[in-house]
Amino acid sequence: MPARPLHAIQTDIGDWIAHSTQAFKQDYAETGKVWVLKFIDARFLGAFLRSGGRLVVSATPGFTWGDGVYVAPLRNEYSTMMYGRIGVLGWLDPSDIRNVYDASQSKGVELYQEWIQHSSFLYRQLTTTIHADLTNRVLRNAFRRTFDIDVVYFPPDQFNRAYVNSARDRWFLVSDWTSVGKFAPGQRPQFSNRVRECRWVAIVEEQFEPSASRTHYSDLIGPYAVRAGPSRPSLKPQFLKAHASNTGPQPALLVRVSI
Amino acid sequence: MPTLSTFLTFRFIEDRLGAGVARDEADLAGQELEFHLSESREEQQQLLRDYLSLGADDVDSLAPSLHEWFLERIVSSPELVTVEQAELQLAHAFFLGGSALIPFLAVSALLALYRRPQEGSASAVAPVVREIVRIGQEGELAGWRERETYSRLEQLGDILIDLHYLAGADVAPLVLAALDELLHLDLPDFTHHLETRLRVRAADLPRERGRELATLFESR
Repeated sequence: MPARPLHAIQTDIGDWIAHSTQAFKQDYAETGKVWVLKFIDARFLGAFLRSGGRLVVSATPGFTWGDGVYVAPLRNEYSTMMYGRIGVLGWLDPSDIRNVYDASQSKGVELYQEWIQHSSFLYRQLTTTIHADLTNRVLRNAFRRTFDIDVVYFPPDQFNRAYVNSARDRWFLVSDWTSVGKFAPGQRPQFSNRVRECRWVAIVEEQFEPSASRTHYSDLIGPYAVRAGPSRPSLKPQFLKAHASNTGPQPALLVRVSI
Repeated sequence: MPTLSTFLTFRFIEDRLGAGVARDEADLAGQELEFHLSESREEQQQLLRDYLSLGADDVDSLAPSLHEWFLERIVSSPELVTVEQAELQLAHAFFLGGSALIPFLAVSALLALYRRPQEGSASAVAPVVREIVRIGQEGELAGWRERETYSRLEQLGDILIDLHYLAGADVAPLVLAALDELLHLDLPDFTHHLETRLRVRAADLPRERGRELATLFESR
């Protein structure tokens, strides 16, 4: 049995959400926008453009914090390039973000772990069966929905030695429960409007290969090329410029992210 | 007999979304399928109807990932099917093996279909309860004994206790009606066990949610 009653944990979670929301807006909201990036597989470029630049909700068991739109803040622009060559940039409206959960600190993770122990059926399945992926998905979704969490931010849990800094970088999961019934254990893999004015801004030159476990990705070209310097330059100004330029159906300016 | 489109969709879900497919690849495949289904409400309805009209042997032979996909689809979009079309198949799904989450999804689907408590009639989980009791009484399955009847009812009770909190206050009356039905079964050992669990749970919950549960056993 859990050590603390659910009502006490719920109070602490509410306090943590208030703290996280304030910290998130201070850290990430710039001039009324939270800029976010996503790198998608080139196979989905056509669908992305045809949809009018909307991102798709991921709803597969095994994702870190459940269903939603996974993006990275613009300041961590390199951290998700391993997922696809096509970089798209959009923004979240801070006034849409009422509740944020900081899962990058141990307190946020521990409160979640305490909370799930109060489920009866689901916690038993999670801890005593081989169906952990699906059960985790249901519990993570239920947690976010119970506390009406719009964004969870967390450290990367898939790595590449040259592109991801797990201590510094953060990733966001954006919730979108539009048109989903109250008993639904997840969101549907449908397009989301939460990320606004999402536009194609970049093409990545590097080719990545996932490990068998998918816990890390290898960069296949970079190790054999000459790099300009030891650290990577910020691409933020270029990405923002491309975003401002690409208002039409075809991009006027694309940033080539070199090796 | 399912249509060719349904047959091919079954294959797609099993091959591209099932366990063993890398999650990134499964996610891309899920998006591809969703993209096509979102184009046609009729196609979605036909797909769900075909699933719900499968015979027992066909249902038992399907991969768990298929059941998970279809049950979740019904929970997410209950308006695409009717109670009459779905409740027997959902009651049957509660007993399917292969995935620990299938009973949870089946109960969630029944509750989603009902949407609100039916005045003066049985609760949303009545078909599951009837099936548990029937199988227990008739000893239809080899090795099925009273202990298993209680075990299934306990499982159903635990799922409902989870859903009472997880699904939110606005749909709590549906879950409470289902728990009330369980508490009124003529199985004293089970109802005593459930009441004990509900008392512990009521004390554990935030005040208003706990009070909701307490009304179930205070009136007994």
